[in-house]
Amino acid sequence: MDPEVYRKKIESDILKIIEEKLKNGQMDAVRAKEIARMLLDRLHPPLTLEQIYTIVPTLDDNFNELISVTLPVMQEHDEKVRMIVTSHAEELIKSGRLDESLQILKGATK
Amino acid sequence: MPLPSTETGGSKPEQVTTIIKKQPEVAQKVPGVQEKPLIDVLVNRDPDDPDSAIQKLLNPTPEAGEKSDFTSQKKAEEQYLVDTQGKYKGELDIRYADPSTKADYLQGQVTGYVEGVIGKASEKKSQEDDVKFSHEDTLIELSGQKFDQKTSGIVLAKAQERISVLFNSEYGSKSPEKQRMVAEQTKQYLELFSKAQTEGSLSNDISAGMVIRLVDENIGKLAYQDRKATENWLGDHGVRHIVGHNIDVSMKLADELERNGQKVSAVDRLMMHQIMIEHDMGYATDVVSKPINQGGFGADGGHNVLAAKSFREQAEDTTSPVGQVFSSEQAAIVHEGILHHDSRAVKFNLGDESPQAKKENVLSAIHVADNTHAFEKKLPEILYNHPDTLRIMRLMKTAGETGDDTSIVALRGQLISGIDKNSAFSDDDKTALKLAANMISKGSYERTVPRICGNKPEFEIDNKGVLTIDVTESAIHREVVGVFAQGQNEQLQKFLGDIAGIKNVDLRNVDSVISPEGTVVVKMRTGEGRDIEKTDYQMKIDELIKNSDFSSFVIEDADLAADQALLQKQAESSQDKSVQLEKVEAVKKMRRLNMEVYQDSQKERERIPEKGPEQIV
Repeated sequence: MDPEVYRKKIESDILKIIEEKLKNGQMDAVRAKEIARMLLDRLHPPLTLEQIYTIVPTLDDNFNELISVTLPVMQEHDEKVRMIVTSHAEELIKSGRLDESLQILKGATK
Repeated sequence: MPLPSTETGGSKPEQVTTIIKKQPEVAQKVPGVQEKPLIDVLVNRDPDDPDSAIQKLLNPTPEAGEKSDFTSQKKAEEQYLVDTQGKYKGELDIRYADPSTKADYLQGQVTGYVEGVIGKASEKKSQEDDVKFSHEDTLIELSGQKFDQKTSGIVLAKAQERISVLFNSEYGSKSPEKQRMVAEQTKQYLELFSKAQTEGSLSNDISAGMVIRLVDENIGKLAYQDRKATENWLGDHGVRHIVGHNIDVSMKLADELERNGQKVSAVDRLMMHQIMIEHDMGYATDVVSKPINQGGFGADGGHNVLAAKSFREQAEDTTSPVGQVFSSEQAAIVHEGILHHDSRAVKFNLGDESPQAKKENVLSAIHVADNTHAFEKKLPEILYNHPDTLRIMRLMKTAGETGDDTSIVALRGQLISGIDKNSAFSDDDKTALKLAANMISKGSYERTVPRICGNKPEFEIDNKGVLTIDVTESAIHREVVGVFAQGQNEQLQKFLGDIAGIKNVDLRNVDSVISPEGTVVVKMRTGEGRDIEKTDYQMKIDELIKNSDFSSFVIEDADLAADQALLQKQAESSQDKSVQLEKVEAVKKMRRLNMEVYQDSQKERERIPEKGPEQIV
C-alpha cells in the first residue's frame, strides 16, 4: 500500500465526516477548524505506513467524532500484526520451539 | 515497543466503547453563517487533494490579495531566462523545465537524505536507550498548541537534537564546527520568529507543529546542500558559505544599519536567513550536481533561477511551512532575494522606513554577503578539511606538465586512501569526499588555490549609507601561490569585479576603490600591510609548504619548469625542432625523477614512524 495514498484516504474520510456534521448543524466552524489544524500538524506528508499507524490512534484523542475513521485503521493494523505473529508462532511450533512460540504470543498480548 | 493486543483488536477499544456511549444524540440543525464557507470548501474540494481542502478550512474566505498567485514571480523567472539566453545558450531553459528542479522533487531528495541519516542514528540509539530523532511524538504532544514562548523551547530542543545527528555524528557529517554554526543559526532564527510575531509581522496563530516543520525543512536543506557541496570542486556552497559567511555577514550589515539609526525589523532579518538557506538550492538539483560531479563546468550557470523556482513552488503550496508562515509580500521579497542573490546592486537607505527602502536594505545585504564570500572559507570541502589535497594538487601539476598519466592515477589513489584513513570524517563524509577526489586533475589548482588569499572581510556602513569593506591579504597568500607559480591577488581582482564592478586594478599602486555608483568602497591591505596572524587553516597550509622535503621538491621543480617552458618556446621557433624537443623531454624526465625522490622520502618517513610523516592528513 502506498503510504501517501493511504494518508490522503484517511484525510478524505475525515473531511467527509466534517462536511456531513457541518451540513447537519452537528459541528460548528470553530470545531471544524480545530480538526483541520490538528490534521495539518499531525498528518502532513511525507509519512511512512509505520508513522501513519502511530499517528492515527491519536487523532481522536480530543475529537471523538473521528472514531469512525480511526478505529478501522487501528483494527486493520492489529489484524496485520496478529497474522504476522500467528504465522511466526506456528513456524516455531512446527520446528519444536514451543517456549519461544509462547514467549512471542505472550509478548503480543501485553 | 510491545505489540498491540491481539485479543481486543485495538489499543483502546474499551475507551472507544465508553466514548461512543457518551456521545449525545445531537439534533439536526441548520448550519450557521460561519459554517457556510466551510461547507462550500468541502463540497467543492478536489478529491485527490484533501490537503488543500484542510488548509482552506482554516481560511475559507481569504481577503483580496492575502495570498497572491505568484504570477509576477514566475514572470520574473522567465525574464531571467530571457536575459541570460545568450550566456547559457538555451541550456538553462532545459534545466529550468526539468522535473528534477520542481520543489516537490527536490524536497523529496532533502527528506530522503535526512531520513536516511536520522534512520541510521535512531536504529543505533534505540539499541542503547530510547532516544528518538523523529518528531512525530513531539508533533502529537504539541498538537493544537500555538508557537509561543512556552513551545519555542521544545521546538529548539528538538531541532538541536536533529542538528547534532546531521552535522556532528558518525551517521551524517562529522563536524563540530558545522554543528555549532547551524545550532546558533537555528536559535537565532527562532528568536527572530518570536520577535516578528511580537512586532506583528508574523501571525500569532501559527501552530508550534508548523514551526517545527519549517525549522526541520530548513535544517534539512542545509544538510543536503552541504552534502552535495562536499562532492565536488566548486567553491563551497554548504554550511560554511550559507551560515558561516552569508547569514553572518547579512546580520552584521543589519547591525550596521541599526547603528546608524535605520530600523531593521525581525522579519527583515528572518527573510535574510530564509533567502540564504534557499539561495543555492539550484546547485543541489540533479541537473546541476550530476554534470558538475562528472567534471563538467558550466552546469551551475543560472542556478539562481532554479532555487527561485523551488522556493516559489513551496510558497504557492498553502500547506507547506513556507506557504503557511510567510505572507505573499514577504515571500515575494524572499523570492527576489534568491533570484538575484549575486547581483552587484547595493543601496543602503538610512532614515527611511518605507517598505521600498526596507526591501532595498534586505536585498543589498544579500548581494554584499554573497559577493564577499570569496576567500579561504569558500574553498571546496576537500581542500578546506583535508589540506593534504593541496600537496597532491602540486604533485599533479608536475605530473600533468610532464605527461606522466600513470602518476596522475596513482596520486588520485593516494588522495582517496588519505581520505579513507582520516578519522576526522564520518563514512558519509568519506563517500562524498571520495567523489570529489575522483575528479582531481592536473589543473584542479588553477581555480582553487587563488582563494587562499584572504580571510573574512570587515564591513562598516557610514552615516550616508556608504559601505566600506576592508580586505586584508592573508599571511600565507604569497607563499601558496608561489608554490603553484601563480600570480598574486588574482582572487582579489575577481572580488573587486564582483562587488565593485571594477576590473584590472593595479594593486601595487592602489589601496582602495569605489564602485561607479559610489555606494561601496573597498579598502585593501596587501604586501607590507598583509595579515601577520594565521588562521587554523593557514597554519596547516603553512606547515605543509614549509616542510623541508616538500619545499625542496617545489624549488627544484619550479626551476626545471622554467627551463621546460623556455626550451618549448625555443623549439616552436627553431628550424630543427628535434634537438630542442629532446631537451624538453630530458627536462620532463628530470622533473619526474625529482617527484619520485620526494615521494620516496615520504614513504621512508611513513615507514620509520619516529621520523614522523611530514604530510598533513
